[in-house]
Amino acid sequence: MSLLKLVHRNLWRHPVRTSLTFAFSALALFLFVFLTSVVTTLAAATKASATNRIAVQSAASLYVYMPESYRAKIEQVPGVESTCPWVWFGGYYQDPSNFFAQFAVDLATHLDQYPEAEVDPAQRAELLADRQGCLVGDELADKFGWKVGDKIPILSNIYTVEGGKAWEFTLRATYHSRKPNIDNKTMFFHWDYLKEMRKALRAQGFEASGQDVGVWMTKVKDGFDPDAVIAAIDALFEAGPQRTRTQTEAAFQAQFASMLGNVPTFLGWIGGAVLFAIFFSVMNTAGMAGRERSRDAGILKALGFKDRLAGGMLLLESMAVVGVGGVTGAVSAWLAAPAFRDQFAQFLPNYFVGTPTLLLGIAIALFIGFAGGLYPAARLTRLRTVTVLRQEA
Amino acid sequence: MATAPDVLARMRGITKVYSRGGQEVRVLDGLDLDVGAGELLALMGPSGSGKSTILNLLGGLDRPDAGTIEVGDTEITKLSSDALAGWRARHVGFVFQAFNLIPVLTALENVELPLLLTPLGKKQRREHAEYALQLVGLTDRMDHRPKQLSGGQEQRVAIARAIATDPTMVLADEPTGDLDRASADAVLDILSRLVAEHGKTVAMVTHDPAAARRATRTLHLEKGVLVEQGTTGPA
Repeated sequence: MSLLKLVHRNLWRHPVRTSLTFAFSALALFLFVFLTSVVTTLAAATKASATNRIAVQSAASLYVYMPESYRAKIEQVPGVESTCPWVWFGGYYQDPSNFFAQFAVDLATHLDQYPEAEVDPAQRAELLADRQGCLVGDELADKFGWKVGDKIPILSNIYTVEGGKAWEFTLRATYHSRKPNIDNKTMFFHWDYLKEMRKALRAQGFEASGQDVGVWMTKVKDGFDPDAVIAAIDALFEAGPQRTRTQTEAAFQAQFASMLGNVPTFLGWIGGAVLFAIFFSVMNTAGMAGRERSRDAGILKALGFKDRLAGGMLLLESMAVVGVGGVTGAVSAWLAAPAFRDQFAQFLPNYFVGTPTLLLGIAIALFIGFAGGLYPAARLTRLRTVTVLRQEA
Repeated sequence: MATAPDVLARMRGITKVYSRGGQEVRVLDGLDLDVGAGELLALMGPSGSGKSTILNLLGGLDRPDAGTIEVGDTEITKLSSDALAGWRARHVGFVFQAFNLIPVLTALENVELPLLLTPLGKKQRREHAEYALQLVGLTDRMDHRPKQLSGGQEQRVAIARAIATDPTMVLADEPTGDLDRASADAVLDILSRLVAEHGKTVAMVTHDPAAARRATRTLHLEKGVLVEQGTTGPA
């Protein structure tokens, strides 16, 4: 017999109530950790962006293309080290549900601009030598079981071939990015191969994109102020034919988050509301338990236990149910991160649950258990033994 | 003043005032009372006469508005709340009319509960609790929870819990109030044996004349004042 045994027995006095409180706490903290992680994932990509890379897009919209001739002009701007075309391919593997991002890029320039995406040197050479070769993030390759040398058929919603024929690529290299600004679930292929596709489609009577490039990812030379380079590029195209909007990579990444409008803020509010709900629920449950334990508290005090013991035991109960439930929910959200990453590959390919978010969730769970049980516990502590035993007699 | 030969507890000039419905009710007014060591004291009187208040004050569950209470060498009215709790754990065992057992614990665990406040180890605590249950004749019910026991058995478990720590005094508030005659007699037998065979001091509040007849001394209270005292018979 120990007081912990008494706490344990009290916990299971109302098994349904305890189970529901546990489940609600787990669900609330699961949601909190998940929603917070969505926000932190969006922020992490922006934070990890390089300071020496800038993105040039059409001033009208990200979906309006710019002429290929811009490349030479951008490269003439003082401070520009290199510029690389990025064109969205909009394809999928075998089935539309297997959607992932593909970009046509100048692979040699791209690999130089993104040293954080590590590629085996031998594979890199193979990749650059093969016109149909493609570079794939290691997580994407793992997901579909692709190996270097495999033929990968991709159907595009933009570059559609008559008869539903797929474009064929050969996997020549995989990369692994060490930073969240570039995910490991994207496919890159030769810009020249895309130009051939467009040519072939035009010959067949299809209308391929009239203009050419979605984004010019541009690297700034060391010692040059990116803001000055940005201003110079936009000034260069002030008169058209397409005015440009140039921004740092961080701002470019951030605009994808801002496309979601106030969603991150709403997610924060929802997470907060869930925590408030669980807090009041715990307070209510602990209040009910406290009222039921009044007589027991009186008995314990009559036996010689100190006034604060009964309150302390109630507090422990509250922290045990909500704490264990909350920790279960937070850890479940952490364990479910890979599944979520697959589920939201299109929107949040880099979704992750950070250790600070996990620890924050656990700390919040314990705090809610403590704070929710505090008032009922204080009430139990203050109860006059004589009064409670007389009332309960 | 109500006196006893070998005094264990002394109450002097005790006044206790309760506030009921916004009005002050003087339950005890300058009461003097001695409780003798090894006596079975019965406190009788109508409801509201202050019997239970005396018991609560003697056991340190409540504090007087005026006056002093000494038990042995300790003036308990001067003790802090924590010190009083510690004193209560060592010197007082309570038996209540409503039994007041913890419903989620077995009979054995209920009896073991006050022993958690002693320096005894786990094994010794269990032995003490089993011995206390043996004294009240309930060794065969030690793994039962209160709901699985009759009222008389519950009260016997409560007595076992009260004596488990070998306290100086056992204070019983209407111990037979909720029991049938046979169960009440069994409980009174145990309380009498505690006094006669184990030298315990028992103070008991009761409305039951049969219980009072078991007492070595009976005090009658009316409106907080001792109006009669008599020695009835041996415990």
